[in-house]
Amino acid sequence: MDAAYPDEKLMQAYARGDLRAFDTLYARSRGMLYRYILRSVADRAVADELFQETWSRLIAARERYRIEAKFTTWLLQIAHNLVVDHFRRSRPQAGAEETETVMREQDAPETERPDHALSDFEERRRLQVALDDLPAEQREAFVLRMESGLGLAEIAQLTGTGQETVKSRLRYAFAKIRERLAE
Amino acid sequence: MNSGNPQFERDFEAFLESDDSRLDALYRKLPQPEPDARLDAAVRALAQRAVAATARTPVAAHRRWLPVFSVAAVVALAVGFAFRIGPQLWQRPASQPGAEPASVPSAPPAPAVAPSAQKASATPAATAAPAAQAAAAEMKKMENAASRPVPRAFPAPARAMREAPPPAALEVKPPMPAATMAAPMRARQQVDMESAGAPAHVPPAERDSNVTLSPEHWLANIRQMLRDNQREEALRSFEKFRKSYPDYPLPDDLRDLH
Repeated sequence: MDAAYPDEKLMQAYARGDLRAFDTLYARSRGMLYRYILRSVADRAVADELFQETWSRLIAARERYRIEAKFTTWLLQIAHNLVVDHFRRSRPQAGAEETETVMREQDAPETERPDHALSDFEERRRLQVALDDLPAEQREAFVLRMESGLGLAEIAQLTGTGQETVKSRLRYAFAKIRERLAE
Repeated sequence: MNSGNPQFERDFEAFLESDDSRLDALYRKLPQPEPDARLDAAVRALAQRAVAATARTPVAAHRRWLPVFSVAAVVALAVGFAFRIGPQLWQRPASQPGAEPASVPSAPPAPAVAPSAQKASATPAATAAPAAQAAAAEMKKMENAASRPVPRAFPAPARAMREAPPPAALEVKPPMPAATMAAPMRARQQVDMESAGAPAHVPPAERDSNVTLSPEHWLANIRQMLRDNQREEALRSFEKFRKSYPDYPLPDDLRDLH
Protein backbone atom coordinates (compact mmCIF):
# COMPACT_ATOMS: atom_id res chain seq x y z
CA MET A 1 0.00 0.00 0.00
CA ASP A 2 1.32 3.41 -0.98
CA ALA A 3 2.90 5.18 1.99
CA ALA A 4 1.43 8.47 0.81
CA TYR A 5 -2.07 7.05 0.79
CA PRO A 6 -4.15 9.06 3.30
CA ASP A 7 -5.28 7.38 6.49
CA GLU A 8 -8.87 8.26 5.72
CA LYS A 9 -8.80 6.42 2.37
CA LEU A 10 -7.19 3.43 4.01
CA MET A 11 -9.93 3.35 6.60
CA GLN A 12 -12.58 3.43 3.90
CA ALA A 13 -10.80 0.67 2.01
CA TYR A 14 -10.77 -1.45 5.14
CA ALA A 15 -14.45 -0.77 5.71
CA ARG A 16 -15.01 -2.30 2.26
CA GLY A 17 -13.06 -5.38 3.31
CA ASP A 18 -9.49 -4.56 2.29
CA LEU A 19 -7.38 -6.16 5.01
CA ARG A 20 -4.11 -4.86 3.59
CA ALA A 21 -5.38 -1.32 4.08
CA PHE A 22 -5.94 -2.10 7.73
CA ASP A 23 -2.42 -3.48 8.11
CA THR A 24 -0.96 -0.27 6.69
CA LEU A 25 -3.17 1.85 8.88
CA TYR A 26 -2.32 -0.16 11.95
CA ALA A 27 1.42 0.02 11.29
CA ARG A 28 1.20 3.79 11.00
CA SER A 29 -0.85 4.38 14.12
CA ARG A 30 0.04 1.67 16.62
CA GLY A 31 3.05 3.38 18.28
CA MET A 32 1.44 6.79 18.60
CA LEU A 33 -1.78 5.32 19.98
CA TYR A 34 -0.05 3.02 22.39
CA ARG A 35 2.11 5.78 23.83
CA TYR A 36 -0.83 8.09 24.21
CA ILE A 37 -2.67 5.44 26.18
CA LEU A 38 0.32 4.31 28.22
CA ARG A 39 1.27 7.89 29.15
CA SER A 40 -2.30 8.52 30.13
CA VAL A 41 -2.83 5.47 32.33
CA ALA A 42 0.80 4.72 33.30
CA ASP A 43 0.12 0.99 33.49
CA ARG A 44 1.27 -1.38 30.80
CA ALA A 45 -1.39 -4.01 31.40
CA VAL A 46 -4.13 -1.42 31.39
CA ALA A 47 -2.58 0.20 28.33
CA ASP A 48 -2.58 -3.15 26.54
CA GLU A 49 -6.20 -3.68 27.40
CA LEU A 50 -7.28 -0.19 26.33
CA PHE A 51 -5.17 -0.37 23.19
CA GLN A 52 -6.86 -3.57 22.07
CA GLU A 53 -10.26 -2.26 23.04
CA THR A 54 -9.67 0.91 21.00
CA TRP A 55 -8.98 -1.08 17.86
CA SER A 56 -11.84 -3.40 18.58
CA ARG A 57 -14.26 -0.46 18.69
CA LEU A 58 -12.77 1.04 15.56
CA ILE A 59 -13.23 -2.26 13.73
CA ALA A 60 -16.82 -2.56 14.91
CA ALA A 61 -17.59 0.97 13.77
CA ARG A 62 -15.71 0.79 10.46
CA GLU A 63 -18.86 1.03 8.31
CA ARG A 64 -19.96 4.18 10.09
CA TYR A 65 -16.68 5.98 9.45
CA ARG A 66 -17.05 9.12 7.34
CA ILE A 67 -14.09 10.65 5.58
CA GLU A 68 -15.00 14.10 6.95
CA ALA A 69 -13.47 13.04 10.27
CA LYS A 70 -9.68 12.90 10.36
CA PHE A 71 -8.72 9.34 11.07
CA THR A 72 -6.14 10.13 13.76
CA THR A 73 -8.60 12.34 15.61
CA TRP A 74 -11.25 9.63 15.41
CA LEU A 75 -8.88 6.94 16.65
CA LEU A 76 -7.59 9.07 19.51
CA GLN A 77 -11.13 10.07 20.43
CA ILE A 78 -12.06 6.43 20.92
CA ALA A 79 -8.95 5.94 23.04
CA HIS A 80 -9.64 9.14 24.99
CA ASN A 81 -13.12 7.93 25.91
CA LEU A 82 -11.73 4.62 27.09
CA VAL A 83 -9.05 6.35 29.16
CA VAL A 84 -11.66 8.61 30.75
CA ASP A 85 -13.79 5.57 31.54
CA HIS A 86 -10.76 3.87 33.05
CA PHE A 87 -10.04 6.84 35.31
CA ARG A 88 -13.66 6.92 36.39
CA ARG A 89 -13.47 3.29 37.39
CA SER A 90 -10.15 3.55 39.19
CA ARG A 91 -8.16 6.14 41.02
CA PRO A 92 -7.38 9.32 39.11
CA GLN A 93 -3.79 8.66 38.20
CA ALA A 94 -0.74 6.67 39.03
CA GLY A 95 1.81 8.04 41.44
CA ALA A 96 5.13 9.31 40.29
CA GLU A 97 6.97 6.39 41.85
CA GLU A 98 4.89 3.81 39.98
CA THR A 99 5.27 5.74 36.76
CA GLU A 100 9.03 5.78 37.14
CA THR A 101 9.04 2.04 37.65
CA VAL A 102 6.99 1.57 34.51
CA MET A 103 9.29 3.85 32.62
CA ARG A 104 12.33 1.85 33.70
CA GLU A 105 10.65 -1.36 32.58
CA GLN A 106 9.93 0.02 29.15
CA ASP A 107 12.40 -0.80 26.50
CA ALA A 108 14.54 2.09 25.39
CA PRO A 109 17.14 2.08 22.64
CA GLU A 110 20.49 0.81 23.79
CA THR A 111 22.18 4.12 23.07
CA GLU A 112 19.61 5.94 25.15
CA ARG A 113 19.88 3.78 28.24
CA PRO A 114 20.41 5.90 31.36
CA ASP A 115 23.69 4.25 32.16
CA HIS A 116 25.04 5.40 28.82
CA ALA A 117 24.17 9.04 29.26
CA LEU A 118 23.38 10.06 32.78
CA SER A 119 22.58 13.67 31.99
CA ASP A 120 20.19 12.66 29.26
CA PHE A 121 18.60 10.21 31.61
CA GLU A 122 18.21 12.80 34.30
CA GLU A 123 16.62 15.19 31.89
CA ARG A 124 14.23 12.59 30.56
CA ARG A 125 13.45 11.45 34.07
CA ARG A 126 12.55 14.95 35.04
CA LEU A 127 10.35 15.29 31.98
CA GLN A 128 8.67 12.02 32.77
CA VAL A 129 8.11 12.97 36.39
CA ALA A 130 6.80 16.35 35.33
CA LEU A 131 4.39 14.66 32.96
CA ASP A 132 3.21 12.29 35.63
CA ASP A 133 2.65 15.12 38.08
CA LEU A 134 0.40 16.97 35.69
CA PRO A 135 -3.33 16.80 36.19
CA ALA A 136 -4.85 14.31 33.79
CA GLU A 137 -6.41 16.91 31.49
CA GLN A 138 -3.17 18.88 31.17
CA ARG A 139 -1.12 15.74 30.60
CA GLU A 140 -3.53 14.49 27.98
CA ALA A 141 -3.45 17.78 26.09
CA PHE A 142 0.34 17.84 26.23
CA VAL A 143 0.74 14.24 25.07
CA LEU A 144 -1.73 14.73 22.24
CA ARG A 145 0.19 17.80 21.15
CA MET A 146 3.61 16.14 21.31
CA GLU A 147 2.69 12.63 20.26
CA SER A 148 0.37 13.14 17.34
CA GLY A 149 0.96 16.79 16.47
CA LEU A 150 -2.70 17.70 16.82
CA GLY A 151 -3.62 21.37 16.82
CA LEU A 152 -5.73 23.21 19.36
CA ALA A 153 -8.93 22.74 17.38
CA GLU A 154 -8.40 19.01 16.96
CA ILE A 155 -7.56 18.47 20.62
CA ALA A 156 -10.61 20.48 21.56
CA GLN A 157 -12.83 18.38 19.32
CA LEU A 158 -11.30 15.14 20.52
CA THR A 159 -11.62 15.93 24.21
CA GLY A 160 -14.97 17.66 23.89
CA THR A 161 -13.76 21.02 25.24
CA GLY A 162 -13.25 24.52 23.91
CA GLN A 163 -10.08 25.67 22.21
CA GLU A 164 -9.36 28.25 24.89
CA THR A 165 -9.64 25.56 27.54
CA VAL A 166 -7.18 23.40 25.64
CA LYS A 167 -4.80 26.33 25.23
CA SER A 168 -5.02 27.05 28.93
CA ARG A 169 -4.28 23.42 29.82
CA LEU A 170 -1.29 23.40 27.49
CA ARG A 171 0.00 26.64 28.96
CA TYR A 172 -0.12 25.23 32.50
CA ALA A 173 1.49 21.99 31.39
CA PHE A 174 4.21 23.80 29.48
CA ALA A 175 4.99 26.06 32.44
CA LYS A 176 5.24 23.16 34.91
CA ILE A 177 7.46 21.10 32.64
CA ARG A 178 9.80 24.02 32.04
CA GLU A 179 9.96 24.66 35.76
CA ARG A 180 10.78 21.01 36.48
CA LEU A 181 13.43 20.87 33.79
CA ALA A 182 15.06 24.04 35.10
CA GLU A 183 15.51 22.69 38.61
CA MET B 1 -3.21 32.60 32.20
CA ASN B 2 -0.58 35.07 31.18
CA SER B 3 2.78 34.71 32.81
CA GLY B 4 3.77 38.29 32.06
CA ASN B 5 7.13 36.94 30.93
CA PRO B 6 7.72 37.76 27.26
CA GLN B 7 10.27 34.98 26.90
CA PHE B 8 7.80 32.45 28.27
CA GLU B 9 5.12 33.67 25.89
CA ARG B 10 7.48 33.36 22.92
CA ASP B 11 8.50 29.85 23.96
CA PHE B 12 4.89 28.82 24.51
CA GLU B 13 3.86 30.10 21.08
CA ALA B 14 6.79 28.19 19.60
CA PHE B 15 5.60 25.09 21.43
CA LEU B 16 2.10 25.52 20.00
CA GLU B 17 3.58 25.96 16.52
CA SER B 18 5.71 22.82 16.95
CA ASP B 19 8.83 24.94 16.79
CA ASP B 20 10.14 24.06 20.24
CA SER B 21 12.83 21.71 19.02
CA ARG B 22 14.47 21.29 22.43
CA LEU B 23 11.35 20.12 24.19
CA ASP B 24 10.39 18.05 21.20
CA ALA B 25 13.79 16.41 21.07
CA LEU B 26 13.66 15.67 24.77
CA TYR B 27 10.18 14.19 24.45
CA ARG B 28 11.38 11.94 21.61
CA LYS B 29 14.13 10.70 23.87
CA LEU B 30 11.59 9.37 26.30
CA PRO B 31 11.09 5.66 25.98
CA GLN B 32 8.94 4.97 22.94
CA PRO B 33 6.94 2.00 24.08
CA GLU B 34 4.99 0.08 21.49
CA PRO B 35 2.53 -2.76 21.63
CA ASP B 36 4.20 -6.14 21.70
CA ALA B 37 3.88 -8.77 18.99
CA ARG B 38 1.15 -10.63 20.86
CA LEU B 39 -0.97 -7.49 21.00
CA ASP B 40 -0.34 -6.78 17.33
CA ALA B 41 -1.43 -10.28 16.42
CA ALA B 42 -4.56 -9.98 18.55
CA VAL B 43 -5.61 -6.72 16.87
CA ARG B 44 -4.93 -8.03 13.38
CA ALA B 45 -6.91 -11.14 14.16
CA LEU B 46 -9.82 -8.97 15.26
CA ALA B 47 -9.70 -7.05 11.99
CA GLN B 48 -9.46 -10.22 9.95
CA ARG B 49 -12.36 -11.91 11.72
CA ALA B 50 -14.56 -8.86 11.21
CA VAL B 51 -13.88 -8.80 7.46
CA ALA B 52 -14.38 -12.54 7.16
CA ALA B 53 -17.67 -12.36 9.04
CA THR B 54 -18.92 -9.58 6.75
CA ALA B 55 -17.96 -11.55 3.67
CA ARG B 56 -19.67 -14.72 4.90
CA THR B 57 -22.98 -13.25 5.89
CA PRO B 58 -25.16 -11.79 3.17
CA VAL B 59 -26.47 -9.27 5.67
CA ALA B 60 -24.29 -6.55 4.21
CA ALA B 61 -25.77 -7.08 0.75
CA HIS B 62 -29.26 -7.00 2.22
CA ARG B 63 -28.41 -3.76 3.98
CA ARG B 64 -27.33 -2.21 0.72
CA TRP B 65 -30.58 -3.23 -0.97
CA LEU B 66 -32.82 -2.33 1.93
CA PRO B 67 -33.27 1.34 0.94
CA VAL B 68 -34.05 0.31 -2.65
CA PHE B 69 -36.69 -2.17 -1.51
CA SER B 70 -38.16 0.42 0.84
CA VAL B 71 -38.50 3.02 -1.91
CA ALA B 72 -40.02 0.46 -4.28
CA ALA B 73 -42.57 -0.58 -1.68
CA VAL B 74 -43.58 3.02 -1.02
CA VAL B 75 -43.96 3.71 -4.75
CA ALA B 76 -46.07 0.58 -5.22
CA LEU B 77 -48.33 1.60 -2.35
CA ALA B 78 -48.69 5.12 -3.72
CA VAL B 79 -49.57 3.86 -7.21
CA GLY B 80 -52.09 1.40 -5.81
CA PHE B 81 -53.65 4.10 -3.71
CA ALA B 82 -53.83 6.45 -6.70
CA PHE B 83 -55.53 3.82 -8.85
CA ARG B 84 -58.05 3.09 -6.15
CA ILE B 85 -58.81 6.62 -5.01
CA GLY B 86 -57.86 8.59 -8.12
CA PRO B 87 -61.06 8.01 -10.17
CA GLN B 88 -63.18 9.24 -7.27
CA LEU B 89 -61.12 12.40 -7.06
CA TRP B 90 -61.32 12.93 -10.82
CA GLN B 91 -65.07 12.41 -10.76
CA ARG B 92 -65.81 14.80 -7.95
CA PRO B 93 -65.37 18.08 -9.85
CA ALA B 94 -67.81 16.83 -12.51
CA SER B 95 -70.56 16.41 -9.94
CA GLN B 96 -70.16 19.88 -8.50
CA PRO B 97 -72.53 22.66 -9.45
CA GLY B 98 -71.49 24.76 -12.38
CA ALA B 99 -69.31 22.09 -13.87
CA GLU B 100 -71.89 19.55 -14.97
CA PRO B 101 -74.50 21.56 -16.88
CA ALA B 102 -71.98 22.63 -19.49
CA SER B 103 -70.95 19.09 -20.22
CA VAL B 104 -74.29 17.39 -19.89
CA PRO B 105 -76.06 17.50 -23.21
CA SER B 106 -79.56 17.86 -21.92
CA ALA B 107 -82.12 16.72 -19.48
CA PRO B 108 -83.61 13.36 -20.13
CA PRO B 109 -87.25 13.25 -21.01
CA ALA B 110 -89.54 13.33 -18.07
CA PRO B 111 -90.16 9.84 -16.85
CA ALA B 112 -93.35 8.44 -18.18
CA VAL B 113 -95.75 7.78 -15.43
CA ALA B 114 -97.73 4.64 -15.67
CA PRO B 115 -101.31 5.30 -16.52
CA SER B 116 -102.51 3.27 -13.61
CA ALA B 117 -100.51 5.43 -11.28
CA GLN B 118 -101.87 8.45 -12.97
CA LYS B 119 -105.37 7.16 -12.33
CA ALA B 120 -104.69 6.76 -8.71
CA SER B 121 -103.24 10.19 -8.23
CA ALA B 122 -105.08 12.26 -10.76
CA THR B 123 -108.02 14.28 -9.73
CA PRO B 124 -109.94 16.17 -12.36
CA ALA B 125 -109.09 19.83 -12.11
CA ALA B 126 -112.04 22.02 -12.78
CA THR B 127 -110.37 25.29 -11.98
CA ALA B 128 -107.06 26.85 -12.97
CA ALA B 129 -105.56 26.88 -9.47
CA PRO B 130 -105.21 23.13 -8.95
CA ALA B 131 -103.91 22.85 -12.47
CA ALA B 132 -101.34 25.50 -11.78
CA GLN B 133 -100.22 23.65 -8.66
CA ALA B 134 -99.84 20.48 -10.66
CA ALA B 135 -97.93 22.36 -13.28
CA ALA B 136 -95.61 23.80 -10.65
CA ALA B 137 -94.96 20.35 -9.26
CA GLU B 138 -94.25 19.09 -12.71
CA MET B 139 -91.89 21.96 -13.31
CA LYS B 140 -89.99 21.08 -10.20
CA LYS B 141 -89.76 17.52 -11.34
CA MET B 142 -88.42 18.60 -14.68
CA GLU B 143 -85.90 20.90 -13.17
CA ASN B 144 -84.70 18.10 -10.97
CA ALA B 145 -84.37 15.89 -13.96
CA ALA B 146 -82.56 18.56 -15.91
CA SER B 147 -80.04 19.12 -13.18
CA ARG B 148 -79.40 15.45 -12.69
CA PRO B 149 -76.22 14.34 -14.48
CA VAL B 150 -76.63 11.91 -17.29
CA PRO B 151 -75.21 8.53 -16.37
CA ARG B 152 -71.82 7.95 -17.92
CA ALA B 153 -69.87 4.92 -18.91
CA PHE B 154 -68.64 4.64 -15.34
CA PRO B 155 -70.98 6.10 -12.78
CA ALA B 156 -69.69 8.59 -10.31
CA PRO B 157 -69.15 6.97 -6.96
CA ALA B 158 -72.02 7.22 -4.58
CA ARG B 159 -69.85 8.90 -2.02
CA ALA B 160 -68.90 11.69 -4.37
CA MET B 161 -72.52 12.12 -5.32
CA ARG B 162 -73.57 12.33 -1.70
CA GLU B 163 -70.89 14.85 -0.85
CA ALA B 164 -71.57 17.08 -3.83
CA PRO B 165 -73.60 20.13 -2.92
CA PRO B 166 -77.09 20.30 -4.40
CA PRO B 167 -77.16 21.88 -7.80
CA ALA B 168 -78.56 25.39 -8.00
CA ALA B 169 -81.37 24.15 -10.26
CA LEU B 170 -82.80 22.21 -7.36
CA GLU B 171 -83.85 25.33 -5.56
CA VAL B 172 -87.56 25.20 -4.86
CA LYS B 173 -89.31 28.28 -6.01
CA PRO B 174 -92.81 29.27 -4.97
CA PRO B 175 -95.39 28.34 -7.58
CA MET B 176 -96.33 31.13 -9.88
CA PRO B 177 -99.91 31.95 -10.70
CA ALA B 178 -101.15 29.82 -13.53
CA ALA B 179 -101.81 32.74 -15.81
CA THR B 180 -98.32 34.13 -15.57
CA MET B 181 -96.66 30.79 -15.49
CA ALA B 182 -97.97 29.18 -18.62
CA ALA B 183 -96.22 31.20 -21.28
CA PRO B 184 -92.73 31.20 -19.82
CA MET B 185 -93.17 27.58 -18.93
CA ARG B 186 -93.97 26.67 -22.49
CA ALA B 187 -91.05 28.64 -23.75
CA ARG B 188 -88.80 26.92 -21.33
CA GLN B 189 -90.19 23.55 -22.21
CA GLN B 190 -89.49 24.32 -25.83
CA VAL B 191 -85.94 25.21 -25.02
CA ASP B 192 -85.61 22.06 -22.97
CA MET B 193 -86.92 19.98 -25.78
CA GLU B 194 -84.62 21.57 -28.32
CA SER B 195 -81.64 21.20 -26.09
CA ALA B 196 -82.66 17.65 -25.37
CA GLY B 197 -81.94 16.88 -28.98
CA ALA B 198 -85.44 16.17 -30.23
CA PRO B 199 -85.36 14.07 -33.36
CA ALA B 200 -84.50 16.25 -36.35
CA HIS B 201 -86.88 14.43 -38.70
CA VAL B 202 -89.98 15.50 -36.78
CA PRO B 203 -91.52 18.59 -38.40
CA PRO B 204 -91.79 21.54 -36.06
CA ALA B 205 -95.53 21.67 -36.56
CA GLU B 206 -95.93 18.14 -35.31
CA ARG B 207 -93.79 18.72 -32.30
CA ASP B 208 -95.72 19.06 -29.11
CA SER B 209 -93.73 19.87 -26.07
CA ASN B 210 -96.62 18.72 -23.93
CA VAL B 211 -95.82 15.07 -24.60
CA THR B 212 -93.13 15.34 -22.00
CA LEU B 213 -95.53 16.58 -19.38
CA SER B 214 -97.74 14.80 -16.97
CA PRO B 215 -101.38 14.37 -18.06
CA GLU B 216 -102.62 17.03 -15.65
CA HIS B 217 -100.04 19.50 -16.83
CA TRP B 218 -100.71 18.66 -20.45
CA LEU B 219 -104.43 19.22 -19.99
CA ALA B 220 -103.76 22.51 -18.22
CA ASN B 221 -101.80 23.66 -21.22
CA ILE B 222 -104.61 22.65 -23.55
CA ARG B 223 -107.02 24.74 -21.49
CA GLN B 224 -104.62 27.66 -21.67
CA MET B 225 -104.44 27.30 -25.46
CA LEU B 226 -108.20 27.41 -25.61
CA ARG B 227 -108.25 30.52 -23.52
CA ASP B 228 -105.62 32.06 -25.77
CA ASN B 229 -107.79 31.36 -28.82
CA GLN B 230 -105.37 28.76 -30.14
CA ARG B 231 -108.10 26.25 -30.74
CA GLU B 232 -106.49 24.32 -33.62
CA GLU B 233 -103.30 23.89 -31.71
CA ALA B 234 -105.29 22.89 -28.67
CA LEU B 235 -107.17 20.30 -30.65
CA ARG B 236 -104.01 18.81 -32.11
CA SER B 237 -102.50 18.61 -28.72
CA PHE B 238 -105.70 17.12 -27.29
CA GLU B 239 -105.65 14.40 -29.97
CA LYS B 240 -102.12 13.54 -29.11
CA PHE B 241 -103.07 13.45 -25.47
CA ARG B 242 -105.84 10.98 -26.20
CA LYS B 243 -103.41 8.79 -28.09
CA SER B 244 -100.85 8.97 -25.38
CA TYR B 245 -103.28 8.44 -22.50
CA PRO B 246 -106.28 6.62 -23.96
CA ASP B 247 -107.49 5.50 -20.54
CA TYR B 248 -107.07 8.79 -18.79
CA PRO B 249 -110.43 10.06 -17.46
CA LEU B 250 -111.00 13.35 -19.17
CA PRO B 251 -112.21 16.32 -17.16
CA ASP B 252 -115.72 17.60 -17.86
CA ASP B 253 -114.64 20.79 -19.59
CA LEU B 254 -112.51 18.91 -22.12
CA ARG B 255 -114.52 15.77 -22.56
CA ASP B 256 -116.44 17.11 -25.54
CA LEU B 257 -113.54 18.85 -27.18
CA HIS B 258 -113.13 17.90 -30.78
